[in-house]
Amino acid sequence: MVSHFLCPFIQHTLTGSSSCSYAARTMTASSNYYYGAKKGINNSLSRMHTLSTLDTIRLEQGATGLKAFFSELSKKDYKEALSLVNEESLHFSSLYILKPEIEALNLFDYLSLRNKIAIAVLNEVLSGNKSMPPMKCSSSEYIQTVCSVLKWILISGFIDDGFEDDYDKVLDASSALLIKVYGDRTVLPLMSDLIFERNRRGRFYNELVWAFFESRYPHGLILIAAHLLSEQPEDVRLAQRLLSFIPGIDTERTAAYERQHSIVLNWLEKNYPYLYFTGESFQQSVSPKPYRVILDARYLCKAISIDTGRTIEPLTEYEDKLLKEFSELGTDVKKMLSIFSHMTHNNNIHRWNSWIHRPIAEQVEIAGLWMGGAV
Amino acid sequence: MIKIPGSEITPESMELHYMVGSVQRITLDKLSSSSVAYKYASLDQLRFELDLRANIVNAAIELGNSKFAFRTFRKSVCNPDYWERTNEGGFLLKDGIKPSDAIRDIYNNSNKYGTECATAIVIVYYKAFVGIFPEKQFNDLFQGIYLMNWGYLDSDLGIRYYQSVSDVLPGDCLYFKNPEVNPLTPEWQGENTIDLGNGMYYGHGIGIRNAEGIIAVLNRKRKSDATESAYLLDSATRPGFKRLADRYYGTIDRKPLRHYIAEDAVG
Repeated sequence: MVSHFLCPFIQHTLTGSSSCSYAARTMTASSNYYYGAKKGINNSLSRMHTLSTLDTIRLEQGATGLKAFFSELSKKDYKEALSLVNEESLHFSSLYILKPEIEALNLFDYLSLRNKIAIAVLNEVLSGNKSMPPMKCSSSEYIQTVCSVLKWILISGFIDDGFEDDYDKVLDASSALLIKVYGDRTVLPLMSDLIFERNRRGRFYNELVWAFFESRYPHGLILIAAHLLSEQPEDVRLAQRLLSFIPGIDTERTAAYERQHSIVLNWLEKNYPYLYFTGESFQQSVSPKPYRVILDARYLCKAISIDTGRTIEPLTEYEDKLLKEFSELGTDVKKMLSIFSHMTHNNNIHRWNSWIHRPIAEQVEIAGLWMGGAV
Repeated sequence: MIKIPGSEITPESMELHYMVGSVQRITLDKLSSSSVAYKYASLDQLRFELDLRANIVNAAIELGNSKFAFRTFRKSVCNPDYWERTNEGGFLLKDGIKPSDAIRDIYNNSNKYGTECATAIVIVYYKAFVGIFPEKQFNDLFQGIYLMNWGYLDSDLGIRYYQSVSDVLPGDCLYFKNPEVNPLTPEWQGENTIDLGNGMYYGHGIGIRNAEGIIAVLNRKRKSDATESAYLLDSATRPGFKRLADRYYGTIDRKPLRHYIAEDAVG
């Protein structure tokens, strides 16, 4: 799964468009960002390639062997046992397996801050136990450490996803906390990999999908779209299902996946500044539309807040007047006009300025002619 | 208003066939008094929808009063005599089992089942259909039932999500959204409910309550520093009533609909 991190989506987004539009620039910047994020995760994993002693035992002797080794060592030399469990390169899965032994041997107080926080998170996720043991650190240190511990859980722990349901639940909860509390989008590539991996194995991934979309980050869709090009039919089906709110992505289609992939990238490029996050999920709807294009904003070429759907900059009196007239048009005309406006704005700002200052009836006529009478 | 081309029987005259306060009557009144034109190909199509809505409401009340438990998909449980629990927590109809028997078992042995709210709504729908379709037709139509969330539905159900509905009708599935849910309990991100037509809603895991009651429960499931309350959306999820009616009337001889319960239990 690790090698899958460097999936081909990066190449597509880096070279996908020669346009110098705002959206295209944002796309490229985003791709670089993702490349960096994936590189960062790979670096973290590289550091862990030097397996800790306990991880080596776990891999060689399994969970039972690891528990037996740790219990025996703790009785003989608890300092050495603590030193091993507190090793920086330890994977979360080993700590997860050893948690009952650590508790039975009353070793919690001697754990590293990382391990203490990880076990506290684990207890809260699995049993709802919210009691926090005292931590010897400042509040700011604590806040930052919790974030890095959640990332450690996810990054070092994802490779053992599927170990058991409770283990998976901790990974899902860590993802949700990183996204919802810390706004950390660097874990999206890893979450995407987990979602598709679980889907291939017929395992539960709904909460990961929910957390993924809750990032309110439309560029995350690029990661899902990459799976439209997968050789695995189940990957393609899931990608289609998750992206089916984008016009042209059809869950019934069984071919032309490269074209569908392009449709997603083009849709993002054209609409990114005008997307509003609706929060719809598969718990709510048979056909959730997590993002909606705000046509008013696309018509005025004004970026909006993804959270509120309202323009970031205040509108001028003239823009208010334009929107009033625009609101009286039919939906199809609105769509056509807003597409034309965005396109012209990106291609020739002077022509756009001239067009947007004409009466709206003329705007519609010009747009209709340019777009082949598509009104 | 209701529009039925070529029909001599008016919706007003139909009201005489339904008791005051019944789901059918409440629905009929709402449709008739609406500014929206509700078009039906035939009176039978309208009657089918009215009766199916009544069945949905009754199936929801019955499930609400049963021992059917709320459990997350990871911890979901089902009766292995009828269903196979999949690794993702859904219930797949076992080979050789009649779909109608398996759906009825959820009600008859409700203490052996537990899952999330969206699945409960799908179960309510199937139970309502069991009550309205002749058994053989039901079993022919819904052979490979898989109960999970909205993402896995038999296309024959024709279930659709409607944004900004003009009229909320009894039997509609309405969604209470909980925008500031605790990230550790995403199962409470919202609640799918069935509108019972009398100001009450059935939501699995919450029970039968009014809107304020549902919102109060969801608000307790928010993150600790939440400021935004849960709220009822103006959308509705509905099965394909007309499509199902056409299935019903298209494949068998016309006969009066069998009713789930002789008289409505609502009110």
